[in-house]
Amino acid sequence: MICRESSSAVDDWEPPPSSRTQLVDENRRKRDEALEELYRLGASGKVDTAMDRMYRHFHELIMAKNYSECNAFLDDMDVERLPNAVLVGILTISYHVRNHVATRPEAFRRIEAKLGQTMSAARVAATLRGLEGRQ
Amino acid sequence: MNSASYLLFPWIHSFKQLRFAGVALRIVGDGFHIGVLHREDEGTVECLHLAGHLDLRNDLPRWVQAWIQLPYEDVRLQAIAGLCRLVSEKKQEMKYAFRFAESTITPTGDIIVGNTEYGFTCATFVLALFRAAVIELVDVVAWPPRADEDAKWQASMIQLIRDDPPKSVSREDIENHLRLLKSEIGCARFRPEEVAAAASRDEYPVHHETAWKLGNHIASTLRATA
Repeated sequence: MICRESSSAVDDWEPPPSSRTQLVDENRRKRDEALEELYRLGASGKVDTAMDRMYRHFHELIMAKNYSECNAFLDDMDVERLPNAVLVGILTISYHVRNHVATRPEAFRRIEAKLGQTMSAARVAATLRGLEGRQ
Repeated sequence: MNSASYLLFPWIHSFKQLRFAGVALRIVGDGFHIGVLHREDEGTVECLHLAGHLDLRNDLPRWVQAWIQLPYEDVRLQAIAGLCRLVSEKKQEMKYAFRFAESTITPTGDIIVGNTEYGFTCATFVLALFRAAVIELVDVVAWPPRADEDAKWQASMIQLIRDDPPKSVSREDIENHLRLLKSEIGCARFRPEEVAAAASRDEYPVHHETAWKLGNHIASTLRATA
């Protein structure tokens, strides 16, 4: 059983600066690995495998309410190296937590521009319909 | 419209022609059953569907009598197919119930049932899955209750669950759930053929009148070819 005092102590606890740095480094390492894997799968044409990995990665972040990492992921991703389907999947899964992901509107614009390289403006609009997530 | 040209039959149009995601239909008694077809890059086509109370399945579409290709861009369809795989991997227990308003499936594949709701029908499960993909297929709020037509069907589904309950659930739990279902009799029903009709349109949400007309056409075409 956890007593109130110890719960309170846990709430107030903050990791020492060295631990925080380690956590940030660990998050960055995981993010870089996830993105590199998606780039590699995309380059080899394994779009649906990339889609599944992306959904699982975001699933873990959302379950952990790790929205700062969702933000960082959207900020760091190179849309030119990700398959269009995966980019649409990213907008789909992040739509439901859009209020927590400040980098999403800018990511939407970059994805919109990427799709526009190979699709007409009307097709881009139809493809991304509803995913804008305007407040 | 003279024929439901978007309604495809597996013996003419193989599932190999599926572009990533579609909906599947089968005649069941006086009504229909619906699920979501999904395919990986080169993989087998599977169908995610709510087959009954606590019976969410992802199986080969051998039971399917007709299917409809979703009319969206490939990249959107691939995102929907990925979502189907995510939900099927979660293997969640899904209760059967009639009322549908706010229930949804989260981006993590979890099922969230609305405050005044208890579960899904096969058709509202499809609506919830599309909702997770940020596609509101039908105008849920303005969907009219048709108590005279649907109450009989709703009562028959309750009887079906009572006669053949899941073996993993106690009789007491089943009776408690059936009591909740009884309280929903007369609520708006989203018929599988109407949801299928909505899924054939690239403009959404589809209003009831359109879905009803197209759904009737799907129903008569499917029955004529069965």
